Amino acid sequence: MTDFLILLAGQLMNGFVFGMILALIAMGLSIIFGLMDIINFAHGAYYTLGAYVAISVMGFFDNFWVVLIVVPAVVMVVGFFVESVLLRPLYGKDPVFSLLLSFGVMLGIVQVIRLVWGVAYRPFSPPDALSGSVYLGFLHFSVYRLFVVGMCIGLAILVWLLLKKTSVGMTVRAAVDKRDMVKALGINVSAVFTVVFGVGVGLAGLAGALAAPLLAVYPEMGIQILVESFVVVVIGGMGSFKGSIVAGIIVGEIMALTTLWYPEMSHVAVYVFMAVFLLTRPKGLFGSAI
Amino acid sequence: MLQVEDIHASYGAGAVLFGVSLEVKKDEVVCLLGRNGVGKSTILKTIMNLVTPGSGHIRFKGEEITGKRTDKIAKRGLGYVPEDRDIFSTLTVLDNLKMAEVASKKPNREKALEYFPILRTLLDQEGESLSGGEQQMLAIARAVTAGSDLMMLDEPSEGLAPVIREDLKEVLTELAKEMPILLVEQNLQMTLDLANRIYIIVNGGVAFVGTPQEMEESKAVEKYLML
Repeated sequence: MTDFLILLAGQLMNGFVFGMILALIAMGLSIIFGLMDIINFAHGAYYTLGAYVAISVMGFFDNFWVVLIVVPAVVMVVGFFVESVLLRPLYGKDPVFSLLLSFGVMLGIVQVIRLVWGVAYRPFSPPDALSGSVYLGFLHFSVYRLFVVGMCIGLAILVWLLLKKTSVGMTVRAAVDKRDMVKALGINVSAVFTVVFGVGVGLAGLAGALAAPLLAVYPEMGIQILVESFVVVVIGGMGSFKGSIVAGIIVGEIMALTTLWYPEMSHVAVYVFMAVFLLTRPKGLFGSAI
Repeated sequence: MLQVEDIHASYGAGAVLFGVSLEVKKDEVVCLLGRNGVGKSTILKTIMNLVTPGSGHIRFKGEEITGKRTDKIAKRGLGYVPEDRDIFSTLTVLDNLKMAEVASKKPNREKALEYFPILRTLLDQEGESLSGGEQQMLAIARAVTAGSDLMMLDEPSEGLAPVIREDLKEVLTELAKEMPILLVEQNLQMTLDLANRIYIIVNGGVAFVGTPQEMEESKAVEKYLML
């Protein structure tokens, strides 16, 4: 294999890793939008919160596996609180209110992070068991990055099974489709909203914990990735679970390949792609159904 | 069993119901007749609190349900089949029926499939692939599965072929032996065949109440429903 092909393969794999993290964030963003019609501007802040909680939990327990359990749980509890106390009174009102609230929640979470953890960049090393690299037959690749891909794929399958094979998932899909009819069958849709919002932001928190050893941890780290996640949701099709995963990988690869040839254009290329893509397919890859 | 007293309701600034009162007794089929846009569907939605009543009282099985959460009203045994059927398009027929079992205290899927045996052959099909008649059957079967004590149906015969409409009338006749029905219907013949009592709704209020025979004798159809 030539050096160029090895470099290309490595970059494609890096794109895949970043794409899967984007997909994990976009999954929650997309399900929340599909069910609750909320464009959750605070989603990136939950991702940031996940990264910082990971740092603290790692410092306390010194065990990465504990981090992977505690972080989504903590962020989920924050999500339950935000949904049931702050968002619920706004249901049925002008969508601008929930949009503004989510913007306020984003600013609030970032300020709390600044107060608690400070404004400086924070290092976060992968655990010893996942450090180093493995030879894949044509290139050496980071064990931790492979682990992140495995985790993201596993979580995507888990969420898919939850949506497709359980009565909770069935109720969520029905409520996305016909919310009032679900209520008319005696089901408390508010409780479904709380669960979905909690799980959605919990996934963002977990993505933050997984990304912490790969990307810089700082209070505003969620802002850039939020914008990229919105691009993923739009390309994948608003509210589409499958679309979030496929579009996440596409966006990750576009950024990785652009970085290879023209690094300055890596972020711009994604928006150019989105604009051209939407001209030909305005509903995104998979329309609006979950 | 169901009493509606002097309810007013509106969509935003637009008032739709102006003091509607009606009653559905046990073992009774009550039909609401009226031209398009007079508020018939809004009456059912207001009973379910899908449209919030501005004032008035709604009682079901002796309990006040005015303004209660829709899911709590449904759990008390009030079944609702909306005008546009509201089939869960991405769920299979079986899952549509299962959705009615999630919160039901006395689910009755078998009974529903006895009324509509054709649904047994469609259980694995997605809601969006069904014909209009099949969707209507599924919508009613779903409400039966929920084990309702009173069924409210909003224009169930709308858009159905005459043969299917006849089948539907037979099913509703059988259903009426099991539970009271509040039916919104445009089809006059179906109303006359099924109803014990008829309310004619005009401009958001009740213009006539009586039996089908009284309605024919009073020329109410010519007075309120003819263009």
